[in-house]
Amino acid sequence: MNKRHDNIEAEIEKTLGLLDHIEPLEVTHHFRVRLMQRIEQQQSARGVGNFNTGWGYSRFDLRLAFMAILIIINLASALLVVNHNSNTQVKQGISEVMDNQAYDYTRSTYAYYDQTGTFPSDSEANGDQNQ
Amino acid sequence: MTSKEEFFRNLVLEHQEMVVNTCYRFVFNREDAEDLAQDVFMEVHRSLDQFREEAKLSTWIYRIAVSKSLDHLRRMKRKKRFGSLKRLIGAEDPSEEIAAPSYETPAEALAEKERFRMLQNALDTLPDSQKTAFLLSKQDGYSNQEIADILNTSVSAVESLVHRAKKNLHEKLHAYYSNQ
Repeated sequence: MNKRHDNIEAEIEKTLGLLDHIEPLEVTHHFRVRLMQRIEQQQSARGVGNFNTGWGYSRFDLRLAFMAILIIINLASALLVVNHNSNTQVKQGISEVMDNQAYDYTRSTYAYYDQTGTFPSDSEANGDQNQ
Repeated sequence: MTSKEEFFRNLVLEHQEMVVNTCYRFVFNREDAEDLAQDVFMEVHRSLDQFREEAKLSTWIYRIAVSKSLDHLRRMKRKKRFGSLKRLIGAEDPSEEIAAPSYETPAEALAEKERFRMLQNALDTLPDSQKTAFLLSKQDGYSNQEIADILNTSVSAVESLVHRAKKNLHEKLHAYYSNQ
């Protein structure tokens, strides 16, 4: 029983001891070469968003610009809709007022300027005065 | 070459050994360790302008190395789970290959490979803080103060983490070897 226990402890020691005996890795110059290549590739990949203009636009800037354009288009279309609605309302308002007025003035009640009734002749009027 | 590029080149030269070996402690595989170290320096290159001198530059770099290595282990764990599923349907899982040192007899090499596998499995069960403190304490070049800086904690907390990690590993390995 004790021997088994000792064996187990020895195995555990050996297993944990593996970490103490790991040989440190030596880094070759290929590591740096590969790293620099990767960095250059990344930088040139970032440059794709510049359209080679040299103006320093990044992809992020382009995305922002695109978003701004979308917002402007949305606002403009919203303004157009609002304007269109208010114009029709104004037009409707004006035409309603004109209709009302036309109706009022064509009614017999207020049509004082329109000779719709019969007026007495001059002789009749004078005769009335003489009598 | 600009001064920034020169500075970065010197930074790589100064810290590459430490970064590669730190990653190697976590992943036990040279290729993975070098790939991770590459990612670490890519990240350093990207974020160098944002580095605020709240910590030492070396501490900041090693912290990135630790976090990349832990991320890698998490990915491997997920892959392993998927690998056991693949084994059920008969496909191989290359992610489980561990680089073991060369031995005189195949039996020795096999035993050593098995020990590495057991150690890796036991380490996988530890919480990240214990795993990190334990693995860095086993690497030359890291003082307890430096480990404390990397983990953003105190030296006494690091000592406690290492102690608990050893205890937990001992328990796990004991359970494994008792069942054999």
